Amino acid sequence: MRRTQFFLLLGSMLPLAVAANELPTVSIYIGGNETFFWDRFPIRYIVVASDTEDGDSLSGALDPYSVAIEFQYIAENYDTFSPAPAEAGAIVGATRGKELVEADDCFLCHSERSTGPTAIPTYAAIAEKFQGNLSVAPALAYNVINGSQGIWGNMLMPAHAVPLEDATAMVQYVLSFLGEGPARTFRPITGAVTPNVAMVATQGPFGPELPGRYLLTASYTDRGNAGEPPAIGSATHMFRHSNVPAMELDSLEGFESAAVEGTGVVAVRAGPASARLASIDLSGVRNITIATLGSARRWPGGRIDLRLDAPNGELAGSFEINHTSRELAVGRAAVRLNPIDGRRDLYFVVGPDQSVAIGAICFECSY
Amino acid sequence: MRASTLIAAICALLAPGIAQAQMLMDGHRGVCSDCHVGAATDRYVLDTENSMVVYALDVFGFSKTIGTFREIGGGFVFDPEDAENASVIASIDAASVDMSDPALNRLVRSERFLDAQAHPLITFQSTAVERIDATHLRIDGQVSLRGIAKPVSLAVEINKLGPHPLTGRRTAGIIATGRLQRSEFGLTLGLPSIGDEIEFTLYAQGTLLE
Repeated sequence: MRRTQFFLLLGSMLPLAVAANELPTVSIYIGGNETFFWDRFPIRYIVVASDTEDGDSLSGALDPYSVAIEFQYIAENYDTFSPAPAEAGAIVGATRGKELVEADDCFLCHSERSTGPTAIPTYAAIAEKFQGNLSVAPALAYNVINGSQGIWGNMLMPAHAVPLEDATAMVQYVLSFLGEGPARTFRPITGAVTPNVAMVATQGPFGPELPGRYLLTASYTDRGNAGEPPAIGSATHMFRHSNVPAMELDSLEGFESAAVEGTGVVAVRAGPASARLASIDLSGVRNITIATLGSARRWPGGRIDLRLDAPNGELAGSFEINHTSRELAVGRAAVRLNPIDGRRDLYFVVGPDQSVAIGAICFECSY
Repeated sequence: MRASTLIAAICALLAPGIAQAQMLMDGHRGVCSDCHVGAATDRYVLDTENSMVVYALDVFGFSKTIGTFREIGGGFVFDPEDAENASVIASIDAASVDMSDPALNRLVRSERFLDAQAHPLITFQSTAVERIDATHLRIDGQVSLRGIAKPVSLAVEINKLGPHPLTGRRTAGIIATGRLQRSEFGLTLGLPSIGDEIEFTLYAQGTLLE
């Protein structure tokens, strides 16, 4: 082997010393129940972002504005939903810009919105003119710093002695006023979010119907390292509404899904049968109500045992169902649980010859 | 994890060579009689209902955050006439940490901090005891946290030794204080804004095994 071949071979065997940029790690910790949300009931959270090069969010090494946190209801396709990476920067800019704008003298001339024409553009008018396009932010930031005239009539905007980075964030905030904005507001790395589903909930025969999920998402875009581009780490925590449609039960044994009078149930004409709700956090849940559909002739009822972790697992309670009406009607039965912390698989088990149709299962509900 | 389970686990940890370690059980409480040998003969088992660890660490220099561990088991061998031969063994259920904030509890139990699932026990075993005066001792030992063992020194005050008015059993009440640097155990999250030094106090009550 020639000497050059030897060194080439040796080189290929040695690990390459590349200054890589490690991917940030983001975690979300929830106080209270991790599975369900209740309308207008605050959810406590702590977000921890850590990065090999930048440090972690609890240490004060990271700018708190650099961790983008969003809480939103996603009606469908929530399993595949992920905030677009670019949005992290937009949120960061908009939220940081909000503080900068409010601390500066912008309010002397600009207002957020106006119902009529104004000589000096409102933030909403600027956002509308540029359609919230963040790519214009650097150019508008230049105008903020140096002053401008002629973009909006002959009104003169004086120069502002702010760094380009700050001016860009301020413009990003102004651009966020498009439509009903600013849609994105700064959320601290520790705080609470409150679901409000009044606008999206519909009332069905078995209670509120909210098939979507609330997603609490957090992302951190690091500063890059040694010429490597910034990397994004993110985490998502998903909450479902506390009234769970029976159609979301799985591992059906003996049960069948059925559509009745425009709604869905999971039913069994004659037990035995069992169905599962997997990985349900029962922290803080003491009452479970089951909504059933039935009549004296069809799905008249019986007993549904609630068992933990297996169809023959620990008995947590029993629902007694008894439909006596001539027409199909909704009935409800409840069990009270002993305190159970942590996630469990819930099995709804129907004994031999029992006939029930489950419409929904509600956790800590008053209906 | 119950205290008796904790003790069984710590005996297995600390006395691997004693295959037939005999457990002296007292109701739901137990102490391993073989895993740590002291010359003194008075053996006390920690009363889990009346023992707890309270700790504090600095937060951004403004204040201190306080946490507790309530699931603590163990025992000690102590003769007031022969204090230098005393010995202590204790274990804490890491998942029992409580910082009065459910979200913070989940964070502290997670792999980012105590990693309670992988390392369910925090243990202490004494290595040397020095009498300071009639009611004060210095106990040196090893604390194991997240699988890392480091020496720690405890300042121990003996509150009272004598029959308990409610149980009639001979009881020892102590307060032990110490400090450790969490970074030595790989607990680096939040450094330096959240302090490195953890001040802890063990409030313990032991009942004499008869």
